[in-house]
Amino acid sequence: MRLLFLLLALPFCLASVAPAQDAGEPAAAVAAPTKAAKAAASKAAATSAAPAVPATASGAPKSAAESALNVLGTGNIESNTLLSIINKAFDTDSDAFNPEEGTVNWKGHTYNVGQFRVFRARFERYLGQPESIDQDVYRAIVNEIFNLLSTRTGEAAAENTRKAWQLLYRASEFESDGGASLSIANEVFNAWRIRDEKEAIGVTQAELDRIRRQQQAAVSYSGDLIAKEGANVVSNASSLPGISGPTTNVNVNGASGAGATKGNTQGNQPASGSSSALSGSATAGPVAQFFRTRDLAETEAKIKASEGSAVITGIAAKLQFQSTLVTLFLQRRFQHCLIAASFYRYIFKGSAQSIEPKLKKEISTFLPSSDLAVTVETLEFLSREAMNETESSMQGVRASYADGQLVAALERLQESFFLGEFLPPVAQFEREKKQVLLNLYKQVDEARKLADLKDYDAVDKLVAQIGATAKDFRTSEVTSALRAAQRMSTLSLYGAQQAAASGDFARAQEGIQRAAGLWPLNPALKTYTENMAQQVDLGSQAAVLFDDASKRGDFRRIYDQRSELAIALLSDAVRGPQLKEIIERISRVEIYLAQAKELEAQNNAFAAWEALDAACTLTPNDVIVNQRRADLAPRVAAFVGRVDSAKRQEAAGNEAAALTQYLAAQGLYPASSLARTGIERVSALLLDELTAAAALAPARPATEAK
Amino acid sequence: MRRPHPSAALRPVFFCLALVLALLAPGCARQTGEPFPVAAYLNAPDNLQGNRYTLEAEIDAQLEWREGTGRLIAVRPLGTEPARLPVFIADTLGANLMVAQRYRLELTVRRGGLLYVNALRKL
Repeated sequence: MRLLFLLLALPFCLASVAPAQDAGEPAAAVAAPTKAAKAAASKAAATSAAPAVPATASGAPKSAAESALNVLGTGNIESNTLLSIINKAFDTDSDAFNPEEGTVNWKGHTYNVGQFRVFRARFERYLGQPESIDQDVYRAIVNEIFNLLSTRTGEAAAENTRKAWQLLYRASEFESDGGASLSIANEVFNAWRIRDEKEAIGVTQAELDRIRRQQQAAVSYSGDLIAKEGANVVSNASSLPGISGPTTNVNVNGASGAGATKGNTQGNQPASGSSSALSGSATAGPVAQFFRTRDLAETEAKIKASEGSAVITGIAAKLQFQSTLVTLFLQRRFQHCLIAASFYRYIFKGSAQSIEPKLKKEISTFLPSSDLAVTVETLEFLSREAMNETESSMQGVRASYADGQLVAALERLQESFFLGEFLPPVAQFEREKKQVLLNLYKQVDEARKLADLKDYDAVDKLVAQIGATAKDFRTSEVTSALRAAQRMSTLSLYGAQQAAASGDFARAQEGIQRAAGLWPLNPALKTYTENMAQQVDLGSQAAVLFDDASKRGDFRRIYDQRSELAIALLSDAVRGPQLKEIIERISRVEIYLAQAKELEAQNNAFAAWEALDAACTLTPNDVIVNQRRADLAPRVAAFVGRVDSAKRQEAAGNEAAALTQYLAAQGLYPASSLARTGIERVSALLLDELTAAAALAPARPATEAK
Repeated sequence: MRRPHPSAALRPVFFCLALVLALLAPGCARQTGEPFPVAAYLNAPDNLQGNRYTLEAEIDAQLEWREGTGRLIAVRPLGTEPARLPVFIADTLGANLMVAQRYRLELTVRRGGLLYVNALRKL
């Protein structure tokens, strides 16, 4: 019951007493009141402690950093080593943003910023996001928190820490905070609560220790008394008259017991207990001694359990807080990491600054050496460096923007965003500048997509627009690359056309595929394919047309469409040569027609007619030739009649009659080649016949003699 | 002695003359009949096949010659409308023909309208 009473009374004792349990902890750390714990349940209550003096945006972290250095001591070997290592770790050349994999590589560590689409969406959202009107208020709150947590104000650390803790609840109400401040506040409250529990355990342990000492004294006294009583019984048994002996002994012991009682009386309650135990012991026997011994053992066990609980609670609190620190760091909430580190410093003693081994692995990639002792200070330095780098990077963004180098500004802003997305320099970037960069971002993205689609014309136009906006955009390089691709495509197409013309269709197909691969929207390719389609269409029609006209002897029609037919029947092994022969024949007819026209003009009707007759032998059914012959016939009717008669007689085998007619025709037109050739031809035939007949002549007389 | 009859002295002369005439008779044209109908021949030579005619004409040109067979000659009939006719003169006739020489030709219209010269005599 007494123990239960003590446990119930413990919180009230803590409210009035603030003992410094740990040597390394500031006294303010224990000032977290139970009332504040109640206030943690309600943010509204906490927000009542608004900052009285807003600090500048950069002033607070800087002063915090200076304070941290002061705490460490700039001449400290450990601190110099740490700075050196951090400088090595902060190799700016190793920074890289990989949008393809959606990662940011910073100081050797790769932040996974999610899928590329998510990254794009986040960055585009940032660019399109208007400036928050609450941003200044939020920044002021955060700066006030930094000021309150600064080690410069160490003399009022307890009160300042409490105020800073309350401001965390106000800061968490802002959207840009993302609830990080609330996480820290909860963690601080949790640490305080665990500390309270630990203190209560300490009080309990003290009380249990006092009880144990009393129990030890009682057990010891009772044991001695029982031993003496046992010795008196033995002596009385040996000498009966010594009945007053025990009384004397009791008195003696009572004197010594009174001394003990006196000592105990200096305490408070246990004195009476001891007295009762002592008085009781005079009457208690071995059974009472057994119970006293058992109580002592129970007290011993409770003390051991309390000690173990205190150790476990302390480790759990530290581990939980450090987990929050590492999580904030890995989430790139560097400001909150600094705030949490400051709280940590006030809450936990100096010997508890090392990061637990379980968490070291998470941040080991930031450090070049695995032998480095990773502490909370390490996280502070890394966070501060990230903030500084974001700040300088944003200065670079502004400088590039001012110079009109928008591409460089966009690239730097992208890198800055993914390192310091939640830091003030990135959040404070002006809306109108972000809008310009967003337009550029979209244009570049669209150009990239169009380039993927190989729509070079559209890329060309877009690149010209981008180049007009951003003077550092490499327009000439892009344009020359486009021209090269377009040229290669066109050359491949020409090669394909030549291959097709030479009948190498496999190579032609390969060339067309290559041309289409280089530039699918090549206008020349489109024209070529359309022509090819027309040629295929004409090819099927051309064969029908050619066969029909050829069958009717209408070579003129074939000749008139020779260009189309030549292309269409180019690959036709049968009709191709026939077409060529017909074209050559009609070409000669055309020459005869021109010649006849000239001869007519010279009033040489016979010669003109002969030219038309030569043309007619080439194309008997040619309408133009026959029409011209019909026109000319009346003027050369006699000549034509003789020639015609000669041809008929020649055809009938009457060479002599044919020769007569040819001679008659020649009489009409002595220069006639028709007559001349006819005479020569028929004369030869006639003499052949006569020669043959003469060879047979010797046999004839014999026949006639019969 | 009987004095020979004066005509007896001329007998060898007449004999020789008769012999010469007899020898020359096959190579000389003889006026055998009607003149060649040029216009009819030009219009329908088949109708004259098998007939024999006499044609007086002038050598115009030699159209063809085949050794051992003969030659085709274009002649211009005399006294008719201007025309040229092809005639065949066999080598067996042994004629020496030149352009512009005039001959009387004894000819036959053979198959196919061939004017075959049987005999000729220079005019």
